[in-house]
Amino acid sequence: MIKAHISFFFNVARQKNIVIINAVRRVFVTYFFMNNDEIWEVVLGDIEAQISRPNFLTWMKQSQLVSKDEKDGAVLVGLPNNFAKEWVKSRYHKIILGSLRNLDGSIRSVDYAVVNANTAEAVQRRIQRKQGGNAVVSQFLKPQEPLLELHIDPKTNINPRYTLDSFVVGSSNELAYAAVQAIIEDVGKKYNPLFIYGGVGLGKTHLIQAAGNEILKKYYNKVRVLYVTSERFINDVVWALRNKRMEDVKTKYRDIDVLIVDDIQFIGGKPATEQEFFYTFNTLYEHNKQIIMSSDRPPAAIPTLEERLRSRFEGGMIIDVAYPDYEMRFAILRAKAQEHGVSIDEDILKEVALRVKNNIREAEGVLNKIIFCQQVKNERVTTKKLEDIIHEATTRVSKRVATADVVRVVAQFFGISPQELVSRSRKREVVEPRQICMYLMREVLGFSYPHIGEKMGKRDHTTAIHAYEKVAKEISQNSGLNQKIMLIREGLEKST
Amino acid sequence: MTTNLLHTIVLRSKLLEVLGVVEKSVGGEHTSLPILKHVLLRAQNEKLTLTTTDLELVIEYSLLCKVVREGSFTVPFQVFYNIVKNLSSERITLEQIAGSIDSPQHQTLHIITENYEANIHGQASDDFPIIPVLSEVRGEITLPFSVFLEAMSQTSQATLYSDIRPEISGIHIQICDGELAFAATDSFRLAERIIAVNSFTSSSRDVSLTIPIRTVSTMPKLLFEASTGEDGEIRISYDSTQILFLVPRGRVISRLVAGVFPDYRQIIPSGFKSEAFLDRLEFLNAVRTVSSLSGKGNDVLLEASGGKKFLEIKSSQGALGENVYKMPANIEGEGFELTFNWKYLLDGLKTFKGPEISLAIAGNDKPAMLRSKGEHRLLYVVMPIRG
Repeated sequence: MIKAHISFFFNVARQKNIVIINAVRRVFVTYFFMNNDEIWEVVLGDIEAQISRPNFLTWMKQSQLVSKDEKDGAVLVGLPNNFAKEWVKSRYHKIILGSLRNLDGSIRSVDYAVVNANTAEAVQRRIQRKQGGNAVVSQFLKPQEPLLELHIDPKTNINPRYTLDSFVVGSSNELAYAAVQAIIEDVGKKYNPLFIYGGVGLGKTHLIQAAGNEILKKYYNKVRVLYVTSERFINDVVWALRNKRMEDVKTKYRDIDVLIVDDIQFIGGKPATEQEFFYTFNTLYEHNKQIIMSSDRPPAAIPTLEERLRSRFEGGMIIDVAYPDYEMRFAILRAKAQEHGVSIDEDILKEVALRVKNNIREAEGVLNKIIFCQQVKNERVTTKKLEDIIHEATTRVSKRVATADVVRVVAQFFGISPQELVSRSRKREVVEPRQICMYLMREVLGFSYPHIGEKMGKRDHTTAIHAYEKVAKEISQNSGLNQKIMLIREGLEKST
Repeated sequence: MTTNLLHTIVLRSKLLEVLGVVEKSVGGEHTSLPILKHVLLRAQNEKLTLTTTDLELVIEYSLLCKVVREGSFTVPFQVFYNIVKNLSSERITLEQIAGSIDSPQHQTLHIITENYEANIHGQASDDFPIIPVLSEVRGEITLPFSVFLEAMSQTSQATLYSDIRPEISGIHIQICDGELAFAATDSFRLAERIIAVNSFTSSSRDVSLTIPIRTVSTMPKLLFEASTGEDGEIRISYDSTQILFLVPRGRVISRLVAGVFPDYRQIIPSGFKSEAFLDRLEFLNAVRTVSSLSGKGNDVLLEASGGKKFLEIKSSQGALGENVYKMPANIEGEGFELTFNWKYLLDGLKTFKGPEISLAIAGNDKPAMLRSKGEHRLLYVVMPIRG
């Protein structure tokens, strides 16, 4: 009697145990432990162990657990095509069901469906998400974009894409723009040479090439225009020296009416080139031929430039192109978007204009990414997505700059030694660089004031605060200082 | 496995033809599953059926033969094809040999002719992918081979041969006002061919499908073999994801292109500023000639200005030079000056057959249209290069 009782008790306990274990497992699976993807991960592991590698890759690799119905224990497995569906259903069904039931005893049945990232429904949804039906059609049959880059005229070297019409004028570049217009009116007489300088990506190349284009258009065939980068000029000179064909260079560069040289600062420190350029310059100048040059800094700041060239450059008109203000950046972005023939939310453009300040090229990069997202991937650019794009485009350097880099680059820029920069000296030529250095440590590296003081020769944190605020204030008023700081920043980017 | 061992006697020329048809869907070099490079042979009811698939497309085609023993087996396609291609005698015996007791997996196909003998290692037919069937047939279209082929060849060159925009990487078929329209576009040009009501039958009034361009490219060979000199009919049936083409001795099963084909009819221009009537072959020749000096953008300039009696076709490439072809034309409306991609123009001109062609211009950056008087069911729209 007692024996029977005990055995009955044990039986109940064992049964209950199983129920409990299963229940626990189920709760575990459904609530805490795994989502559908994780469950499927386990199942795939089981299957992989039982079938050959090629079979696994072909049939199971792109499968997924689409849904799991808690109530009637039905699971839907998605497969990429009908072949996989038929094959898996007939060959692997048992393995899959067994593996799933091992994890979750409540599963009763498994069904299969073709689920593809590009099913009609998915694509439809993606298209509908874009505004209106018209967007689809306008995008669908569009004029082919000409390959303008390939249309550079080999005689003049000028890219016809750059025109004055597409140049956005604002307070930061109106002077340069006006000078170019004056030159177009009166080639070779008014501002000769014209020397335009400014930071990277501010439109110098655009402006001087546009000048060339407009001159060509106005005096068609009567005026010979030549655009070269200084690198090209250097290469020509080097080639001519090596092949003893200096005459070729002379005819090429002296037998023209308008010479446009981009990035002239690079000829500094190359004596033979400088000499040749000097002669070319004089010949053209004497014959009232127009010379237009661009550089990233004024002639006086090109360290290795020969004196006689410097004075020649300074003899005409020197104009700087400054950083565009917000309104101008916005206008430029809008013009660019129009050029691409896409409509982008004004708010998005405003945000880009606000955030990407220093370099129009960078802003254009961001814009291109937005256009790519909209057109090719059919994604709407949200504020969050924009955040990612801007982040990606603008933060590539600052992380890797070290304290030593800042000190070294600043010292190098001002032609003093790093030791002097952190020394106690109060000489004028050291004080400004030192303050700029502290300003950059704050801006670029994000150091605290005490830390900056410590790094700059154990100075007090109030010194650092004073330096930072002084420079920050002066930057907005003194474009020369702004210019210097931009150049140093560029130097920092290059040094890392 | 207790499947019967295949044993059959076939004619070489017939076998070779069928191998040529199914070649198009053999798995490529990079397929992950080796058996996709095999051809499935199935002998049944005095027929030998050959099947190949790369998991996107299935081609199945059969030939009459003498079946000694029904059965099925797979062998590597390329090896089999090479052997059959080069055999000299017409009568070929194919016999499947079971694996030995030590290696039952090692089955071979024994090929015998009067002067040749080979053993090819194959794989059991059970390992070959299961050919999917249509689940819920949504509709069925029937039309003559010749009509179907012509419509395909007139539209296919405008298709986008790329996966960037999957929804237009094929030929679109739809029924509009009771007529069947074939259309293709790569977003720079569009070709449309319409089939009149009396040339086809359809079980549904509402058809809209896009056939992948790769599937389209298998059709000429299939239909050529199937037609045996006379015009037959092709039966097309489809469900939501697949399409089946049925011809007398074979069938092709393919996925359908997912996504919605753009509503292209909206952009077919209706009003024109000018229209040039040209001799088609001379225009074709002119474009081809001038193209030799066009730049990397393939651009040629069409200019109609002076006197309206001729059209000038120009191109220039800075480093090479420039050229102009002046051809007689009858121009109505305003003069024009538009740049086109010469490849697109040639493709368009080649789809027509008649001697005369008209080029209708709607304006700068607006679509231009090629039409021919005799072939009013065909049109070709092409976008100019932005000026």
